[in-house]
Amino acid sequence: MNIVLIIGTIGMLILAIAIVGFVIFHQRKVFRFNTQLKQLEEEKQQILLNASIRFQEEERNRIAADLHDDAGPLLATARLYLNENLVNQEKAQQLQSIYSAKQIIDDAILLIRNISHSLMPPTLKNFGLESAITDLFQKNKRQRQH
Amino acid sequence: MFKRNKTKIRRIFFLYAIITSFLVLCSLYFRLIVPSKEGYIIITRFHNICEFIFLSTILSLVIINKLVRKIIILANFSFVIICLVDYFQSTQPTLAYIPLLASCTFFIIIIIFYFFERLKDNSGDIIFSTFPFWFAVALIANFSGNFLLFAYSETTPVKDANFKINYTIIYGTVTFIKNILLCIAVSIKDNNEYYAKVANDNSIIKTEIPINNNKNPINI
Repeated sequence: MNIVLIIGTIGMLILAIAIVGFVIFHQRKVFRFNTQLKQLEEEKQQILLNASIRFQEEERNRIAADLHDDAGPLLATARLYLNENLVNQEKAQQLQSIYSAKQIIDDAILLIRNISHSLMPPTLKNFGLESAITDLFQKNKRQRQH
Repeated sequence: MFKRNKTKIRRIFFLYAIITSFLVLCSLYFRLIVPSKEGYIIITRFHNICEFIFLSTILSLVIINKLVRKIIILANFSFVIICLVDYFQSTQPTLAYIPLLASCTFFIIIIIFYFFERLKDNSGDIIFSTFPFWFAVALIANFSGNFLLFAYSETTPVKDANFKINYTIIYGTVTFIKNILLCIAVSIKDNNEYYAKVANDNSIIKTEIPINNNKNPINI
């Protein structure tokens, strides 16, 4: 009977140790999983951050290119029409130059407005994302039809 | 809230340790200095009741489930009644093996439930760096180790010398293991700052970039 008692007690203790071991093992597994999850979350946030920075850079480059390649030459041409010799020219030529400069400045205004709208469409600002997307689709559709 | 609860658990544990020490000294007094079997039995039975109440109180503070907490509180009254009934029904002065068996069974079930609760908790806490875990390990080692011993003690004749030796060896070993584990539990410094830091880190990462929220991009 005493041997049975000793073996039984040892068995009970082993069972208790097994339960505790299982709990520890499971907790370690959960902890490792949580750590991995946290790392993945950090990586995801990093990717989003990089994408955001890259997008901003691309947008800046596009604006710079638009201003340099389109608005710059237009304004320079307008300035050429309105140069200092304009006062020495004939009246008809003066009017022609002023008219051409006005046309170019109008084009420049339109161009700058387009750049501004492409950065922040007024529809998006006033009516929300859904209306802005619908508006963009309609514009694209019209452009394709033309 | 958690900090206050943690302090309360430790205070109850130290109160339990002081009262247990005092009762052990009293039982030794009745056994060695002024031999009185009746006095020794009463002190031991009183010690069983105190131990049950203190340990169950600590466990009720550790366990989250409210129903189980209520069951633990009710179990205190039930245990006291069982002890009194067992004392008044016993024809000769013996130790309270039936209440001890009942307490062993009760605590093993409650501790397994505590472990089950911890398994379900996915907060990322390191379980073995907390006081309640080592406390539960000490209790489960003590009660599972002594369970068969108490069961056999109830049915074995008191004058079986061989059994007495085995009883002393098993009880002594299990109590030694329990005390070692309780020492570890007391020496553990709950590392809550680490978890708070992890939680803060997560919140910082989530709020750092405003791309994820569902607000209108205009308002960002």
